[in-house]
Amino acid sequence: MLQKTFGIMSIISFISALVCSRTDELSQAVLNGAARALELTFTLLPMMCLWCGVMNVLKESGAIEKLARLISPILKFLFPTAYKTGNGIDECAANIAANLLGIGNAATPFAISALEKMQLDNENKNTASDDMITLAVMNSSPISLLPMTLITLRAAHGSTDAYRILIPIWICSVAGWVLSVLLSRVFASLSRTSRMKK
Amino acid sequence: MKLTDLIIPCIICFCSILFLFSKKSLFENFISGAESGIKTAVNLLPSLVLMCTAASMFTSSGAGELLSRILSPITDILRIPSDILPFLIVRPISGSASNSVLTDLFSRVGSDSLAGFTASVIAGSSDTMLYIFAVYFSAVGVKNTRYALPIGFMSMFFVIILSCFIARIFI
Repeated sequence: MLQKTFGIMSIISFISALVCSRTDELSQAVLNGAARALELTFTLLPMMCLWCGVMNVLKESGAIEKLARLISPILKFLFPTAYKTGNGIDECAANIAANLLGIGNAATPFAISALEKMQLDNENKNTASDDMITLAVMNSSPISLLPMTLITLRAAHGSTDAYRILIPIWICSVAGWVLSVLLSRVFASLSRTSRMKK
Repeated sequence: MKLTDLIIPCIICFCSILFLFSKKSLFENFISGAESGIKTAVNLLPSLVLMCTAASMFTSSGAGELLSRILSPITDILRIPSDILPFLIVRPISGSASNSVLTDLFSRVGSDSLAGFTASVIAGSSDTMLYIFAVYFSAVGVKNTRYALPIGFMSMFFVIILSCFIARIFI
């Protein structure tokens, strides 16, 4: 699915580069894009390193377990398989906490290590399980409480009230989060019933 | 703002206190966790190269402007300000590209105009969905993402429509 998305993207870019006569920029973009990947890895690597280490410490100390118990009704609803087997549920709890606290660079490492643990219970390793999809969808539509970068950007461009966007963002991001979580649960139960019929 | 700046140091301090007072060798746990983090990050590089190349080609080829010209009749019906279309198109693909498009939009029409305000709300309530899916699923070697993308697009569409509506109320 993702493979196809990137294929479509590249073809659209090629055609529109021809139409807009931007072929010079296109070949430059290919090189820049590859270099950008290394740049991203360099920012991701220390974060993965730090937060996976911290995660391990907090897990060993039992702090994450307490957090997971605190929000266990939510976790049980969102990730039924992981909740049952215990594989990856602590990481999911940490991911939710990181998203709510607004530390995005910690949320990604937690989510990836949760997915790695979820793979243990996944029957078909090439296919995403329901829990994995819920986690990915949840993180692609996160609740943002204080988007500081955005507020700074607005203030820098002469906004008279840069914080004015806060309440609309709370409404929209919570609604988007709720919708994507509900949709993923609905799709999960639909696919389960269609599998049972077979 | 002061409070959010304290969160990360607090977590690190909590770990340090655990290092000092716990009888278990927690430092070993930190090292082994960090090692697994390095492995994951390095394993991500091949798929990141593919994704970043596609994203960079897409943004520099003028595909955003071309697509927004094609899509503008539809967005007029949905009452989406036409100025924000290029931003909407790059938003799911790349964080840095959508930030630069947003900056461009702000300097053209102002951050307090309807288009600027709507784009701000969308920027704050959505994320780089395709990038996140690519990172998450390729980190664990999942190829078939089943219904993840349809849900991603549905909720993104919903957030866009809702933001346009809410922005008109709050502006």
